[in-house]
Amino acid sequence: MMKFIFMMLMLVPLSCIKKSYWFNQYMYFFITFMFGLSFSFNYLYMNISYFMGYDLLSFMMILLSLWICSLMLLASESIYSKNYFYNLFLLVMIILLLSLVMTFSSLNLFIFYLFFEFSLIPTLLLIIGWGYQPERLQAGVYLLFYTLFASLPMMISIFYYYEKFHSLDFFFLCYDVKSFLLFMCMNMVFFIKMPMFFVHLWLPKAHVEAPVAGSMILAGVMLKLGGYGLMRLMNIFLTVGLQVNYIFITISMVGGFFVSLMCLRQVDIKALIAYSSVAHMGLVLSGILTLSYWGMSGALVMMIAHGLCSSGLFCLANISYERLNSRSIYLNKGLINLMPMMSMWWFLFSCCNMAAPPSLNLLGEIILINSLVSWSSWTMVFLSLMSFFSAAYSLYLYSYSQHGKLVSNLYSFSSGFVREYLLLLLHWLPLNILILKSEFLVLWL
Amino acid sequence: MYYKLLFFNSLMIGTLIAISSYSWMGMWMGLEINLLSMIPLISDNKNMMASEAALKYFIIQTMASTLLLFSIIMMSMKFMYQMNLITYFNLIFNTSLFIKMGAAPFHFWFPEMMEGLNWLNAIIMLTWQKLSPMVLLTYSNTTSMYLILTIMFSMMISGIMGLNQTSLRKIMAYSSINHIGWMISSIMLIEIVWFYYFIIYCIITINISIMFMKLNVFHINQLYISMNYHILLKLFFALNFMSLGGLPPFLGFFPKWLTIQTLIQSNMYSIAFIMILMTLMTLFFYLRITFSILLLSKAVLTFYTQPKINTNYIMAFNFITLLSLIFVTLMFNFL
Amino acid sequence: MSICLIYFVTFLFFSVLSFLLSLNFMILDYSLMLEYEMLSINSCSIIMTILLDWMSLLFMSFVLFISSMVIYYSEEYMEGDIYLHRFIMLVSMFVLSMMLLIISPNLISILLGWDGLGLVSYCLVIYYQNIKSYNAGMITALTNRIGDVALLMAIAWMMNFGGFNYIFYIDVYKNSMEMYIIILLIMLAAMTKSAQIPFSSWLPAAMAAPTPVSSLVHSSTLVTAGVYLLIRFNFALTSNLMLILLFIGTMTMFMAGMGANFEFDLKKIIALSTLSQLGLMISILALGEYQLAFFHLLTHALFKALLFMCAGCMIHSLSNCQDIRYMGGLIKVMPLTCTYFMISNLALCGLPFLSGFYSKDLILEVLSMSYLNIYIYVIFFFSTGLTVCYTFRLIYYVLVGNFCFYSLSKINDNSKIMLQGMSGLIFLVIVGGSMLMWLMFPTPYFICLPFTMKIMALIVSFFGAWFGFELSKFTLNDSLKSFYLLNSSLFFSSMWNMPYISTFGLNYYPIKLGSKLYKTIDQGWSEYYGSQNLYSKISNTSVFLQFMFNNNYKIFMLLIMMWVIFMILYI
Repeated sequence: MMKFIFMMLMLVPLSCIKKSYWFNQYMYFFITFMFGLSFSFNYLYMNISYFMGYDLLSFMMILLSLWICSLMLLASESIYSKNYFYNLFLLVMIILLLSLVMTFSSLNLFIFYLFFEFSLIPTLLLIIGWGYQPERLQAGVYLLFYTLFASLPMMISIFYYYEKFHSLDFFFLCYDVKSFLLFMCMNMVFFIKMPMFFVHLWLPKAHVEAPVAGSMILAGVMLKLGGYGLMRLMNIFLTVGLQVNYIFITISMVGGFFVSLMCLRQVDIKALIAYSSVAHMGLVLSGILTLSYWGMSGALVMMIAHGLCSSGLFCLANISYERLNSRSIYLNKGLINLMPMMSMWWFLFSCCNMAAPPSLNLLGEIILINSLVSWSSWTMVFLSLMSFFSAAYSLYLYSYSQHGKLVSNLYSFSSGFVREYLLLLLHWLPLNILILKSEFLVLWL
Repeated sequence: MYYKLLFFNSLMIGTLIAISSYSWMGMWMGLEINLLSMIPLISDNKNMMASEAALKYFIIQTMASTLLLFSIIMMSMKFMYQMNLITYFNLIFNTSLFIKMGAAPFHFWFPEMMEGLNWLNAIIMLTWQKLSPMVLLTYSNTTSMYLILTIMFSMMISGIMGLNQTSLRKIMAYSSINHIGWMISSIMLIEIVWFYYFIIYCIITINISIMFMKLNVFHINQLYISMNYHILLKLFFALNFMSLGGLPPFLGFFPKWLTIQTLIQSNMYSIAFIMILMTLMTLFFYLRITFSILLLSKAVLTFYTQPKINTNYIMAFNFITLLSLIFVTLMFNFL
Repeated sequence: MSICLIYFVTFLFFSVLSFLLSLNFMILDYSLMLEYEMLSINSCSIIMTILLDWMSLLFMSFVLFISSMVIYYSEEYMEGDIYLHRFIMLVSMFVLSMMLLIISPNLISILLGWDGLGLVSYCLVIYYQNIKSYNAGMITALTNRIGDVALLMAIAWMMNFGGFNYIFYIDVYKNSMEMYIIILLIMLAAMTKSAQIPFSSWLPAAMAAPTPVSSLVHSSTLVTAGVYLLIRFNFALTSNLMLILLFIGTMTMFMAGMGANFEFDLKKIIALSTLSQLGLMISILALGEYQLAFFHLLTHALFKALLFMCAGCMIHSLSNCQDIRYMGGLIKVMPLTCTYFMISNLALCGLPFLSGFYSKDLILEVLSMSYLNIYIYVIFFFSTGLTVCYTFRLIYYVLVGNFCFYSLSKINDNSKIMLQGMSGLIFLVIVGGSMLMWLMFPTPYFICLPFTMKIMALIVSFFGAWFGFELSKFTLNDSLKSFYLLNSSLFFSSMWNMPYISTFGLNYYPIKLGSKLYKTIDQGWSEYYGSQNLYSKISNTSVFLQFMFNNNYKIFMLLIMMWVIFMILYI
């Protein structure tokens, strides 16, 4: 594990060199592939050194973060070409990547918590530093304070747990805590991070105001931190979980439906994608909270799928934004005639977003639906509504952005660079290829 | 101006006497020396505000010293022990110390006075002047209920009052009140934690205040145009505030971590909870200071030459305040 | 070498191949099952399954044959379209989805084809970029999505059996509650795909697609997917579900037959006729004769594809005019096309020894044989009559009479490629029925009916033809008969108001609800109890405290002294 950490650490000085943007990008991919090579088909903890190591769950999440971070650099080419503090951007990126990798690879709850918090700060810098509108300040504050508001009580409960059970190692995290208060304190931060409905307000704001890299990392990895944490922690809340989980599942299910309806009323492309994230992550949250094998593995599948899919959608939104300078769904119109190839990508990603085969989203949705319906057949009502309206808003997004009359304030632009096609391909391909051997997404339990 | 050097020395000596004295009277004496040498340091005959601040400081500290003396004398009387009244006078004793350090219900003078100081004096007020009252408090922390009350007040007052401030010195004052709350809670439990807290708090505060001094800024809006020639420095400077607020990867998290852990070990969950949530509010106004920096896009003023500062040592200092969490954590094993 | 030709040859080759394989499998009574395990959780595997038996291979060969012809045909029909490649790719994707649907006996892997059909058909419907096709595409995709959701839910219930290969379970668990729910959901899915009655509105709307697509979608692929799924699931249908299905199927048949009699859009008439045939298939399926349904599915695929292609040829010649009132007398100018049109129309009506006759007549006779109430009997025969009625109305409007289009127009039968494509089909339209009859039913059905019942189909057909001519007579001075009962005409011609109900009637509520929720919950209460209100409260408190602390130094000192004195007094 240390070799990867050190590789990333050594990228810090590299990121300060002028015109080293693409070299950095290659290095990110290099790390990704090196890390991918250390895959071991083994669900036990591997590559343990000091407080770090990974099992299959961590491996997938780390791989996702590395992948998304590489693609973030690919997507934010405009920062480099416009010379907008790209060295600083690279620095923030590598710090973010480091924090994420450390978060996912830590074997200790406290270290996990530490780096979990750490990852907030580079994200905040990304949003406030490279965002577009003045509202990004509010978005940054929402992001930071919604998370911190719940994460600091989590710190207290971590210490409490340590006092009572004398170990915070994930491996030994198996004492059953029978306290609802502790359940709330520990898990509320993950509920917010996921985000659960009612505490999701930070998410649309942060997603909308963030630059493309920020949106990608938020949708791609940051939301998954919540799911990852819950998966690790549900071990100690089995008893209390069985008693109270239905509350959160209900909130997520009903909320997912509500959010899907709200998506139909969004006029901002990025806001729409962000709200759709809320709906999907609500599904993930409920899957985890069913405490079943199906739910957990489905949650991981869905998290990976959603990470790639919504990240890809944000890329697309940015590609449109860079050309039209607007995120409004009323101005991004008729693009099928100007960017026909990009329109295909829009369609493919919209399809993935509505869980069309053969995407990983579909597999995730199937597994989650299975787990939830076997948990309670009443969830069928909201599951089917969510599933239906996910198609409705995905098609709404596609149809509104690609069809219709062109807005009249367009100036000449490229209908797509190779870099952009590559970017989208690299999102889409794992999303649809991974399903062929999806076994390693469910073996970790 | 060389007389200030003299008084600075006696300021140090006063504190040292106070914290190393064997008897209560010696401590009082040290505090008095400390107080009396602070006054000339503050006063500045070109600045009315400074004189006012000096006067305010003098009055309030004298009152505190008087109370201190009063309680010391009363406590040393024999009937106090016989009638078991020692705790009550301990309250008065602690009150006087709280006034001296500016903890919350007795904090009124502190931001008012800070407003009149220059940054060098502000640094002394924020850091060094807290030392002796706090050390004295470690000797008399028998009334934990009173301390807890003060902690709560410090937390709430600093969090709420700091929210609407635009003056950097006032913000630093309220931040100091907040940290006093944390420090008192660590004093209540384990002194070595307080020791850590105090040192780290001093490092961060001094770092920030020195930057303010170098840049000669006193209000939030002045930060928009400063340090624009060195964006990395600016960013690191902004991160210092997060360190002050105790966000995890930075040094400022370490003392909070220790304090919370000791609080939890002593089963003080709810106070830890309240302290943490109230600290969030201080974090909010720290963050607001840094907004102008984090926005990255800069306003370049053509006819305004900014004071250029030697970035190297400041960067080194920033490096310590931001990234030394790992090293300090390791160091903790050997203490 | 054009892309159309490449795909034509490929599809034709595979069509012949799978037809021969199908014959082989049929003779040997052989079926082949291939599995690819994707993952296995808790010993419940998610498998990509491929089932090759004579039924799937035969269906595949028909689909491939029709699509090869359609692709060949579209080279001329879509001539000059700059996105021809996109079009052909989409059609191929569509065919591929259909293949995947046909060969998957697994509830999860069938989704690959099922969702694929829905999504690709969306792309094809919106191919001509205008508002009408966008709306049509949206209603097509969303109606199909209901079916997808039903399938997803069925998958969840399927987990009770420990696997998703439904062919293993439908017989065994027929009486279990889980299977009841599954088959209910499957029925829902099939009804959306095959446009049965509450979900019919998308089918005529989907006529906004290019005509080759309509020819493919509405003959053999998309709409028959639902029927095919039900054929696969027919063993699990319980008797009361069959009754429901029968009712819905007959209603659809009747509704569509009536609607076609009032419609003036050439493609929509054919679409409604498809819908009526689908109703026929569903209803005969609901009578338990799944083989007959399959038989009719295949023959219908043939003549309906040809019908659409002929219609496309006419529309192409008439500069994209689809209104039958502008046509007329086309038999004089495009004789070959009109011959094909006539043949496929008569096949649709069930003229003896054309392909439609074998399946349709058999269905009607089997129905007459079975033990059913008078409602079913009447509606079946009435709908058969309606079929002939709208067919002859169409013939009256299009083929005979006066030419009603622009006086200066160049209409002829010179579109060679289109005609070649159609000629490829005409052979099968004529002989396909008898061929399939011999292949699929080695033992003929035993039909024993009284003479009147036997002749009933013929009688209603004649009456239908007569009415078709009479009712649609329309000259300059003589107004249309249907204007006499305008309101009921409107009701029947608008598919019993279904397009209105399933668009304006439904979409208002979710959208209104979405806006309400956005304003009240998301931007309302969540913000109020979340961040904004908290911030304003704290901020107000701060202002208040600022006011309180904006103090007099003396008062502050006084307070401290009072505190001390208070403490001393307390002692």
